[in-house]
Amino acid sequence: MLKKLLIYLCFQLLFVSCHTESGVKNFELTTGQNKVITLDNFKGKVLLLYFGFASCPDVCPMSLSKINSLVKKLKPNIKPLVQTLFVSVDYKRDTPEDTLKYAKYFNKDFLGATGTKEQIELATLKYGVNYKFVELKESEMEYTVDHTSYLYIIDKKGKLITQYSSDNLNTDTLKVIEQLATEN
Amino acid sequence: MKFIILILVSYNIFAQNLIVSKPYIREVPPTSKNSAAFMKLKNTTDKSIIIIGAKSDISKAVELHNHTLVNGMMKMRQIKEILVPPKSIVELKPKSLHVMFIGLKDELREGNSHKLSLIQKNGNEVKIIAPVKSIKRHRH
Repeated sequence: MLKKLLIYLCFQLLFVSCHTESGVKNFELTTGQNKVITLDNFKGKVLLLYFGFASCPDVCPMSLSKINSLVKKLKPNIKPLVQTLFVSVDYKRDTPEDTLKYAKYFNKDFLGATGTKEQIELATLKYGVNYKFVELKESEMEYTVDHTSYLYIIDKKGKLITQYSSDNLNTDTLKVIEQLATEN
Repeated sequence: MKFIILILVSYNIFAQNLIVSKPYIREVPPTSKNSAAFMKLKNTTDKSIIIIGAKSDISKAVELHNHTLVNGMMKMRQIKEILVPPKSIVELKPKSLHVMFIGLKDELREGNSHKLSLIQKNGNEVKIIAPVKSIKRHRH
């Protein structure tokens, strides 16, 4: 119990220290060709953030496909102002390169990234993403990753504005994205 | 002659105890080593049919899995069997029951079809040919 409390307090300290400004939650991850990316790289764009894992055969492909359908509906002048980033929480199995390729399968403009255990723990904590490695004793998979499935919408200044369940992406989501994209 | 007809009729009944419809395998990104198959299983008999496994050459292992949503978390678990009650239809569908391919040997591409067998508890096998479908064009 005490150990859990200490871990929680450590995360809270990290959480507070990484707020660069009010509501802005920075992160550091690695994408293809070992390029480091942070939230700052996306300033000036509306960032659509989704957390999953690249060996996920069902929920993640469905969610990324739905996100793709959504961004395809964006007006042509809005599209360049919106970036989708898929983050793999499976830092044990997924490489930055594989995660990027996984994301680009759904849309060539999507980005994919992952990180070290610490980087993933920090990034998921910031956005309230829950994930858990679960051993599958009799399965060839060896383990799976339980995870929440939300699309996080971040404004041009890096502030988290809202989140939608990946099952509930609709015209309202589209309106929010377009509204944020047209703001200065 | 009557004997031959009887055998044929019996075989037909035997083969139709479990009707599989709309099977498909999901195309996945080339980097992904796992995929899933979905279908409808119709039990035409008065007894339960229990699926205890599946076989295919497309992956290192083929297992039965289920997805559940618990407290906002998507959880995928291996299951030992799929029960198809008498005179009932059970659907293997996204975010639910599915046949799981682990360790794909080659890329799955839409336009191709692959053999898959469902193994029943009584030892019978139901052979299926399932087309690969891309989620990018077919949302289920």
